Amino acid sequence: MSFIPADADPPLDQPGAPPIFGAFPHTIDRDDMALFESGGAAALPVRLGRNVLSPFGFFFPVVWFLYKKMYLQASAVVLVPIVLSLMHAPSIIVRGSGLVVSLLGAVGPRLHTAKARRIIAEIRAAAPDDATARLTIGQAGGVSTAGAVLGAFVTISVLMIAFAKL
Amino acid sequence: MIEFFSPRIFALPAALSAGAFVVLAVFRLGRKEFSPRLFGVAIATGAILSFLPAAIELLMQRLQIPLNPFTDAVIKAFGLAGLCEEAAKLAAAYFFVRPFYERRSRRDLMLGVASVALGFALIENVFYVFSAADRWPATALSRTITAVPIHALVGLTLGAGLVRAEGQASAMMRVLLIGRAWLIAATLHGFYDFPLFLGLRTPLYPEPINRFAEAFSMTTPTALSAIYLAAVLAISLSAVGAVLAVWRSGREPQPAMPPRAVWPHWLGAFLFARSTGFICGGLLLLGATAWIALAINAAIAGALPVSVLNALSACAASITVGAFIFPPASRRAERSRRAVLNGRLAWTAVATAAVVTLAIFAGAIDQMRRNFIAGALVASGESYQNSGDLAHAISNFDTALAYKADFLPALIGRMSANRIYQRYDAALADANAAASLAPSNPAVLVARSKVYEDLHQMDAAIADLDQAIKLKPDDATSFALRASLLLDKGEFESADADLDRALSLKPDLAMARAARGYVLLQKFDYSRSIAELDAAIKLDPNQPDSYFARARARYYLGDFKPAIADLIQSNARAPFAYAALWLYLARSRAGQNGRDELTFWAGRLPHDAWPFPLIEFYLGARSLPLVLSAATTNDQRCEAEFYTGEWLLLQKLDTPGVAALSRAAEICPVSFIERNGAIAELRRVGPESPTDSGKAWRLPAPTNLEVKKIDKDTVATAPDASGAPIVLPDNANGVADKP
Repeated sequence: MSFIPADADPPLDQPGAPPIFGAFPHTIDRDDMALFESGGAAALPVRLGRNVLSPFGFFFPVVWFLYKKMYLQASAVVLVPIVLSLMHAPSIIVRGSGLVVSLLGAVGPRLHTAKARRIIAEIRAAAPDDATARLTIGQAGGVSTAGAVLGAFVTISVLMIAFAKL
Repeated sequence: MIEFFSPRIFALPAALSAGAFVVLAVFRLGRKEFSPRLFGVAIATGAILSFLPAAIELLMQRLQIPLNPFTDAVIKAFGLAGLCEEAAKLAAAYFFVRPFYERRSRRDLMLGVASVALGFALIENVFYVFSAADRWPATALSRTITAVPIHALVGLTLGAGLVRAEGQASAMMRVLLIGRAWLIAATLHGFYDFPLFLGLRTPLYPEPINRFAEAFSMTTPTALSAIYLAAVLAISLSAVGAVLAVWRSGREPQPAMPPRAVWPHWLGAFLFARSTGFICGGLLLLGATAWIALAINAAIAGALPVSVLNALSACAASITVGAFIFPPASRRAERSRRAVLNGRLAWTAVATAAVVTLAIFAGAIDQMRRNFIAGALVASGESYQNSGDLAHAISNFDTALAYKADFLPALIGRMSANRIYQRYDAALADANAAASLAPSNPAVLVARSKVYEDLHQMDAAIADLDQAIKLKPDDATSFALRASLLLDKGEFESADADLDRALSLKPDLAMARAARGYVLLQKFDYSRSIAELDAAIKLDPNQPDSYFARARARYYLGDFKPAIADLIQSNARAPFAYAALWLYLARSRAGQNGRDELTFWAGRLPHDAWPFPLIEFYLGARSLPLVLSAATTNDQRCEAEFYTGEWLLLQKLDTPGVAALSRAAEICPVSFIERNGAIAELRRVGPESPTDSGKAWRLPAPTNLEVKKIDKDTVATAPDASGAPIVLPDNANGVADKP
């Protein structure tokens, strides 16, 4: 069953389908992407194909990444500047890493789409049947409100520690 | 710049590699079904959330809530380390690991929580290793075998609690079971940290822990080691129980999705190979067992018995991790008769190879054993020395040298103990032996220069430091030490030049700032001396000498309460007889009772070495004449005159007090703090204002202190300025009244 209304864009593997951040492999269609974005919920009006920069991700990258369940990226944006400062890197490198982190948050939607494509492809390749694949895609996607809250706490904590060291 | 070419660049990989064995254990317990992606997510989220308790700890520090030491240790161990850290791990486990799409079984959840704890511990490790400055290798090594596996083992217990909660149908039961798991993990974690926090207070342990130790007829450090061992054993057993419980809880239905393989494949092959478990698990188990056996051997040879407890504590977590690594990582498949035969042949070959290796390297193994025991004896000797038991300390150093005749740390340790005994000839013999073993070792030359300084052979001491500086011209410490020797010789300008050089080489060298403070103190410039010593203490708050010097400057200025605070800080960092005597004097001057505190410190100082007779005198256990007769060298006579003079001033016996201080100022070597103190006191109480250059402090006073015995008690009499004897009161056997 598809989450996309009948009058929506045609599936990606059909000619004339709008691109979503480049061309998907033929096994990935809008149905799976919608399933991933909604976290396996019922048919949500998920808007696909938008890969604009995220201002929220720019200013609060940790919150954004944890909300989108992108844990490795979240850990990178927290840990890289801190490890660089511990290693007594020049301040320009440490500050530059902060800017890189913010830019990473800003391009978060693109990274998220790329991650979704990769995970959907992996699941489709490994799943024994369609039902299992759909269930797993739903579990892999979605958002985490608790992650966003904890991300906010982590941001405040890191800022507190950084200002205390000044 | 990033120190790419400094050995410190290895601090980061050293801090992170601490978890290698735990990673191995987690994957082998996962039996090829634990997802590496879940592992990565768990590590990442554990690392991120480690900043939450760090911020809470920072907030607590900023609040500066006044707590007594025991309550402070309880709150830090059970509140901050236990509840907060385990809450952060629980949050990561519950919100990130549990719902992750590749978490498919109960076992995955438990191992995921252990991985969260590992991520948490690794970030903590990075901070500890980087903040350990030059001691980072030792910090990294010690945390590799203790803190990192302990975090992971507590994580297994927490994970088992989550597994149990997940199996409940009722939401209320789930919440209760999660809360219970959190409290158990926090309690285990708190018990692990509690003795460590109390140990930081050495030797001023809080009273409840002293009473606890007394109840079991143990010393406080031994009691703390026992609590630490009990906590580590409880954590290890709890983790083993958690793993067994989850394993025995029945096989779960096979997940629909196949497990994710470890990538790259060679890494997967390595992680799950039987030989990996055999070698790595065996390495941990054998290493830990050998360590414990050697500690027992060292204890039999005379080292502190607590070293066995410490070895057990250090090894228990590693043994548990080794036990998790050792079994096969996947179920054993049915094997053919031929394969079984091949396996037996392989085992026989390995056993034969091991026996042959042992036979070939028996000499080297014995040498390693001797090295270990000698090292343990030196560590034990240093502990004895720090607790004031010099006889045991020297015995340990002797035994260490019997095991390894050319063991430099044992020679240096014995030299140090002999210096405290004021057996300077024996100390010099050890220093010479050390210098002949390592003639181009600047540290040995610096050590020998200190013995020469004790013997007032300043030229020889400076020559050694010159040689040390020649060997290592960029060593700021040697310049600072030479400055202190030049200061002793009264060559203030040269001392200043050396201090400038030391500070140009290392602007944050606390020792140099402190030495500048001493120079100013010797010049009676107290306010500038205090400013320099403030800076030195800010740079290195753990240096007792800086506190002691600042206390003396404040004492001379009449600021007795700040002086008392500094002397307490000095003694808490390293019990020192002279600092204890000054603390008594400062408390008496401030109108406080210093006797109980002096009694406390007396228990931690060598009883058979100078200046213990002076402490006995202040405590009323030795009479004035006996103190004076105990002083056999000029240095000791100088000190006896000063401290008895101070005591006489406290008794309002100004005339004999001034006389004694005058003699101290006369006979004390120029470098002695007692000479400086005597001059300062004479300026305070004397009728004339002295000058630095002349002998204006010398009053028209007495030349001799005449002592005679009256009645049953020992009573000292001293002539006053006019020559008439003053009869001291009955309590003149040393117990000072409040002024």
